[in-house]
Amino acid sequence: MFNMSKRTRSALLWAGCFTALFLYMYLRHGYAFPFIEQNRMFMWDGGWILRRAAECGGAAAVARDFLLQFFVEPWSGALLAALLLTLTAVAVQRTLERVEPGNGALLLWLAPVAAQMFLLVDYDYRYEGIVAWLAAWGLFSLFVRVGGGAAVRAVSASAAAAALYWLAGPAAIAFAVTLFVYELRRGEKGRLWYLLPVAAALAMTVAAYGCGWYGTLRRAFTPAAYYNPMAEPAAWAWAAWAAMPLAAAAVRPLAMLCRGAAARRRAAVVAVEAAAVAAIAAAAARGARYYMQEDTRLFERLDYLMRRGAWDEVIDECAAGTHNTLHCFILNTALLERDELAGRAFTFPQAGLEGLSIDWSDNNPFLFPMLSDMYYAAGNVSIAQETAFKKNSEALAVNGSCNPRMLLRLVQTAVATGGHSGYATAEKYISMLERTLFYRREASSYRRFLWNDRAVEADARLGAERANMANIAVVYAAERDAALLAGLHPNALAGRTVDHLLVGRLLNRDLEGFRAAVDGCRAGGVMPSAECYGEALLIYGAMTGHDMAGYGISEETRRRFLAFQSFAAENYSRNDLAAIMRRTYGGTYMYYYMFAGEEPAGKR
Amino acid sequence: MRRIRIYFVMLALSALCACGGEGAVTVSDTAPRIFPDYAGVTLPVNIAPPNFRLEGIHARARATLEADGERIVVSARDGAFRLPRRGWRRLCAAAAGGEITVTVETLGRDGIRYAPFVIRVSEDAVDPYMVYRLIEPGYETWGEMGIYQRCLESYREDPVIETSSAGYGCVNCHTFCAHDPDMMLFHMRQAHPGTMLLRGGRIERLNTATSGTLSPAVYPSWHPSGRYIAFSVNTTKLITLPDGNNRVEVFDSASDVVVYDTERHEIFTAPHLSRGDRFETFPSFSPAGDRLYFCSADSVEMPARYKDAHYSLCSVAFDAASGRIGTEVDTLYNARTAGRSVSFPRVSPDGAFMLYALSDYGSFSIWHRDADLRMVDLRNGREVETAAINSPEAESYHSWSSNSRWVLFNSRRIDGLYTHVYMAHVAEDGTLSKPFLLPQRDPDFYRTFMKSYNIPEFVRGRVSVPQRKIVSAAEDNEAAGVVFRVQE
Repeated sequence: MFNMSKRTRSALLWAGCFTALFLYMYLRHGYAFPFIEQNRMFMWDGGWILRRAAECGGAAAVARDFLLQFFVEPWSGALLAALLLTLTAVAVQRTLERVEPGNGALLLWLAPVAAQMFLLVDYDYRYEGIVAWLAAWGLFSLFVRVGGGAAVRAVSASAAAAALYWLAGPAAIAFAVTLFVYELRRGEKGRLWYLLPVAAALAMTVAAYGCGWYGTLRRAFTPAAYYNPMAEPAAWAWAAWAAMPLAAAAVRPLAMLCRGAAARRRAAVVAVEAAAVAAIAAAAARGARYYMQEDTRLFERLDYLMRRGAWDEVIDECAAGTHNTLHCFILNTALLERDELAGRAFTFPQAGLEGLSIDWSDNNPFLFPMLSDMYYAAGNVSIAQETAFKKNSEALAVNGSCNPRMLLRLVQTAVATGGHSGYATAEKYISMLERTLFYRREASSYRRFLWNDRAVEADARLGAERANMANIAVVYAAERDAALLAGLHPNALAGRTVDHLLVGRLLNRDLEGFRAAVDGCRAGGVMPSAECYGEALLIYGAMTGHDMAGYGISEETRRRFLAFQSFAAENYSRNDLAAIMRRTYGGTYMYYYMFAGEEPAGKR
Repeated sequence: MRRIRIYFVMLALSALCACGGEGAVTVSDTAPRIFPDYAGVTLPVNIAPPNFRLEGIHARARATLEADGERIVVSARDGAFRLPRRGWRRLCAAAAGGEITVTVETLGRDGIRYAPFVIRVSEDAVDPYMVYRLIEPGYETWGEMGIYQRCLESYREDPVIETSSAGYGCVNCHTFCAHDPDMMLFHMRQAHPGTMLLRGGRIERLNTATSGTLSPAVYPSWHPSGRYIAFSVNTTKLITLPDGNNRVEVFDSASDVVVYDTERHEIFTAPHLSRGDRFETFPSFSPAGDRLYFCSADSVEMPARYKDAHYSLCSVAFDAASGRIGTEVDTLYNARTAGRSVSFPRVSPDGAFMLYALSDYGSFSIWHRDADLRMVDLRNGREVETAAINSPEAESYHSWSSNSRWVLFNSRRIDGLYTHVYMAHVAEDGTLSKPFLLPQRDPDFYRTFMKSYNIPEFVRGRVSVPQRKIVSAAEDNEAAGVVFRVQE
């Protein structure tokens, strides 16, 4: 039963390795993959592929976009990531076995896997890095297997290095250096010939820099080419590269140690492997700390749910508590989409005005998709469009490809805007999305709206977004004079626009601005009813002495407010006032107004 | 052996079927719809092949282009025609001053032979290069942009400077002295800020901010002598509008016109070019260098009254020998009486015509759908008909070729969002031809291209300063300061 062939054992080992990697990637990082996927787009279009592949490093970039299109679901992303890592391990193990049979250098093939494991869930990592890595190692593997004279091999390796640079970028340097190290270790005659491929790769680097293909010399020369050009590359990117020549250099000494019979040699093997395990474990722990923070994982999941419009699930997910302003912002978006913002805004710990109107004056691209969703929910097509546009621009700058999620939003906003500009732009984006695998159906569903105002106006969402554009102009103008809010017109999204505005005032504790906005909205006939609005008006009345009788506040709210006032007055001197009031009044605006920031609000 | 013979017979039959399946051809009396629309346009004799595709047809097709005994036949598998460069050259040479007749037919069972259309070929050559910036079409996004040069005789495009090489700041406002590729300037913002002056291979980095000016130098115009450069200095802001018509508004809340003396490292202005109660901007020297044109509007509260800013077209005399700005301001277009707003005045190098953009209000006409190009014959003051080059979408930034026979300009006519470059021929009497879209190697290029062409400028040759040299100069050279004075 246990008498398995070497091949079977090997297959089982790799299957086990793959399964373990898949489970780890899926369970720990599953939602990172769709998050990464949305910032790249692969189009099934020969012209587009050829145009991109013709650029220096373009072939690897096209391969990356091809792979990443399947990251649309957590399981498929984890599956592919595990496959790439297993492939890395298999490639390294098999090549090293060829270099030095029976080397026992288990850790040498584990090292590149460990180095690249966290890179695959790094938002700033460009996946063409792993494609290029595999191509470089594959080429090295080929030269390990192919015989011939040193001069001929060196010359063909030089051509291969130059071609690899053109196809996949500076990974060619890693290939050339690894080959040189390997030949040096072999100690054959003519080993200096193998400086030629290194020279060829470096010549390509200089040419790439000179022609501006990689921007900076650093990017033309190092793994920084496979990282967000606007960010500092993670140390992992360097580690993956260094693992290549190090593996080639270390395999023979390790094999010799393994083969040695003496107890001292065995001890040395154990020591080396223990040191390697320790190094990998330390690095993994560091990576885990950085890449597996709880709030990041929750954010990735919320983002995934947002993309699918699973607003109820977003609300449920946040029921256990939000960790930061961004989570709060996403929850507020979900509540707005469900028309429950005013009703539930103070039933969970808010993050002040930032939780509803997050500051994006620094053009942080990370925020744009969330902002776009929030403003689309609030019926503000122009900001939903602007933020979607900015995120798409960032994807183009960082990855050289579009952000399909934002492109879909641009289709929605352009169709809602209408006119020649809106429809023609929407058609351009629709035809691009129709050439993708996973967005084509949704994109096509918008075709029927093109140059068809009646269809747009008849559509529940697009029609309301279009109708509400005039209201947004009123809201902007009302920043100078709230009385202008009387110009708001009722439509399916007007209530959300007003809720977004009024809840913002409440979160900011701007009761004067809130009261003025309420007056404007009442005059326009678009004032939604919510208990928190009544409570806020009563607070305003109590503070300013204004009579709030004409605002239609319910008797129950008034009684509750009076009870709140008298309870607070009776217990004013108590240190635990916030805590004891939370038991009865947690979840009310009165409680938020008085205690927010001191004590988390309870569930109503 | 028998099996092989059967395979051969089957192969031969399939080949026969493939060749003989064209059936009867229907003759249509209408010309095909093509993109880009090159039917009836006038092309310069030295332009790159104008590749095009049949709109909505992705079938096998054939185009026959004929002119004066020369003939090329181009086949397309998917309705997209890529013309051979040598054949196109021969055809242009034969058709110079005349026409190329293009006959298109779709192949296959339901083939259609369309009515032919013509492409006129002008003997007037166009400058071999154009320089432009590629940017995202709207909002403030400086992710990645660059200034590029494109050979108009081929499709070759090279970067002059890309922000990916220079710290991802903004690069803008490139301009040349009399179309000379060795005399160029542009600004860098955020990363290594300054004005980069490239003259004969030498690179100078200037800090044009002074205590007496509103801002560092902005919109430039180089004096033909090469010594002076007029700039505007502006306090500019961008707002997003909840408006389906114009989605963005860019406006100045203050602006003046100044002149930089490259020899004395001095910025100077005159009181009537920097009035507190007016916005002066878009300076432009006449080709002779004796007049300085600019736009000027009554200052209004911004952004509240951005629609009330109407810019007039004015000019003052300029004496290059003494470096003095004239004191008398001429008004060529009076916005107070005419009610609209002028931007980007440009005089043709032969001094015959003035081309400018006219919109309902404001100065940033590229974001105004109502913006059109207008032209005046400066020899007689007559307004020249420009309907041939305008569209319902924005037409704005424009540039003259060095021989004054071509204009290139930005237009948003394709989709209302992305600006593309169009060129039109200008006859000696000012008659404008139907404009054509900048040809690309791939006829479908514009369908997936996600950038806007910005500030296209004709240049007489290639900008030869390598990018790395510009970047090094920006990174290593301290920006030279300038002094400021107001002319008495």
